[in-house]
Amino acid sequence: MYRYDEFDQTFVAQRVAQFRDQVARRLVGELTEDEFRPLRLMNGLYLQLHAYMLRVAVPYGTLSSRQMRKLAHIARRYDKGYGHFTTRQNIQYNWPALKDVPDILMELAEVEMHALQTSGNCIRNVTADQYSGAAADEIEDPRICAEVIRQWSSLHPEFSFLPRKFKVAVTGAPHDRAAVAVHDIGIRIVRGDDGEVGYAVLAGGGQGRTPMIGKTVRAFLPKPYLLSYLEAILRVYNEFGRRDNMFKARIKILVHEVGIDEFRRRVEEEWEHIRGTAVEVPEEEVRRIASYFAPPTFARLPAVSEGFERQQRTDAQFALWARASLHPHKQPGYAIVNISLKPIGGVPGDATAEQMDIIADLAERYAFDEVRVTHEQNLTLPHVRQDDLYALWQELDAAGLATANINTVTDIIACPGLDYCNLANARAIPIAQKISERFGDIEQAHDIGELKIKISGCINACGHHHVGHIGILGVDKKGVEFYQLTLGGDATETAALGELVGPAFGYDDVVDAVEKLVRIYLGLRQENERFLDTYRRVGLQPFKEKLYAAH
Amino acid sequence: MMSKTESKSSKRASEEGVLAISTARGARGEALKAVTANRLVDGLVVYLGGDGWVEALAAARSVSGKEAAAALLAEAEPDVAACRVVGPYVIDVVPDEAGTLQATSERERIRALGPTMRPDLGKQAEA
Ligand code: SF4
Repeated sequence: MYRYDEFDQTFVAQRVAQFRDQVARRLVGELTEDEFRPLRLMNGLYLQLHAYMLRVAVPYGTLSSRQMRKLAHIARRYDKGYGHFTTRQNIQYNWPALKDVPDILMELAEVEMHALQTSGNCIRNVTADQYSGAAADEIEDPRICAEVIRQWSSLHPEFSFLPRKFKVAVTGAPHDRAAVAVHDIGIRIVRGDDGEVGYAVLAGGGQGRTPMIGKTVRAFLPKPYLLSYLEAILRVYNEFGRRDNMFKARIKILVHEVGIDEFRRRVEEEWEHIRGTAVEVPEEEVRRIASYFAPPTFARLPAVSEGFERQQRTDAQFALWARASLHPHKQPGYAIVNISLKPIGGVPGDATAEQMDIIADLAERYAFDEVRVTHEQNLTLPHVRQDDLYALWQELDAAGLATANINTVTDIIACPGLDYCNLANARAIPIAQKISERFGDIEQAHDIGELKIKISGCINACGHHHVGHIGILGVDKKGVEFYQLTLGGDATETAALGELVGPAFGYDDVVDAVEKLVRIYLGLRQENERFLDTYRRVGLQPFKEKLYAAH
Repeated sequence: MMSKTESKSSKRASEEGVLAISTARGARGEALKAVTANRLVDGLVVYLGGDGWVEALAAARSVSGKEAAAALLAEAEPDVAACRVVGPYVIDVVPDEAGTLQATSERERIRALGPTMRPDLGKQAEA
């Protein structure tokens, strides 16, 4: 199980003490807001519409039961009884009082958690596939590579004042669940022609105002050169990145402006230069880090559990849930279980303190004490015995945590939007809730098949709308909420940006428009086609024509 | 930034019967102004009232005209220096039929009440 090391522990403890002092000085007026703001942001504390908001990092989305219980406790004691899991695999509290935040950070530190590197122009906490160490299709656990990068970047003096924030994601499986193509640097663990494991390195992806799909800088990098190669990329970026204009300062703009070939040439040239002298990760260190992520001691089991097979045959509800929620595990007899935080009509990503406690308890009893947070705002129990699935499902169901809608039309990503966020143009959560209610019939949702709807309340794209099969972006038109729809976005290994379908819809019309798009798809789809497949086959035009056709 | 967010008057406002907005505006030629901020210690939304800061928009002091609004905003400054509030600014408000002040922009309506899908949270929960 991942834990941060002693060095981190001392560092976090010092930071909490420092912040306690800074808060005290702010409250008595020794610090002005202008002086204090960067300090609180460094500690993950924002001022939002209604109150402060604390963003707590969940490295690699991995939580132990003890940590999950602490999150529940914080929600209950210092907040309003719930937390919100985000697309950055973080958890946010929406109502903490400033005076309580040092205590919250201290409580988090007790379970090796913190709110560092969740803001600022540094290398943000590195993200990885939520099925790390469990997925049947995994080549290697991506968290080892991610943790190497994190440790190297945390305090790398050269890279703590980058032109802009910098996000890195790693996937260890060919099926990309970490959206690496929309990160500043994306790393795919791949097998070379001779079977050697190495990295495909992408750069220049991102969402926000100017969305870009990352381009491959190097198709195969041998493992020992990870850090020198990243260093070469960051040096090129540091040297040529646009510091003059905040909107142009991300690496994606540099890659776009000079072109991937020229960018690659500069990186390779820099790499030639520093290779050999730059720090690489010693084998021993990699082994030490890998031991943090050592797999649990699995039982030897038959590949298929007969009990599980039988229970699916006899209980249709269970079978439906199993179909939606399970993913193949690499260990025979086990399964990966997704817990939907998208009850019909609910707030995507919200969990109550009671639910967090229940999940912690279930993880302890059924899943080697491990919970993962997904970037799609759900939770995952990565290692569950197939024999235990039925009992687990019953307990989840009793807690309102067994909605069988993972990957369906009601498994919607929505950012906090205008209901909480200071930067928002429009609400996002209520749109998600209304769509969810419209498609509330689970069987119907399964018939529609895989469909990813992603909603952002402004162009910052925290709700990943650019890569939604249907993307919804809230805009402000003369003080009124409107919603632009995009089609065909994709965050996986076949990454694509959605195309704008046409004029925006008002708050009261956007759900009808989404329903219409789904109906158009159902009318056009051929056998076994997902929404995205149909869209790719027929293109934007048929959707556009029918969507805007007079009734 | 402020002009962008402060100019909102949404469909939802009219849905919920604050039709008074357009008439009031028409009658006076402009909306009234109030001053809002976040309280430093807990971040909660507050308004400048008759005697210091109040939590309910209904108890806010409203003024008419740019100059009066600027003067009201100036009154908030000492409390910024005294670490009572953070980031005060002027918002558009209008009395509804019952004479209770309502914010005109969607953003300010949400600040004044709480998240729209969680009536159990924020100021609306206390009402
Ligand atoms: S996308 Fe915009 S509205 Fe949504 S959370 Fe991000 S900044 Fe806020």
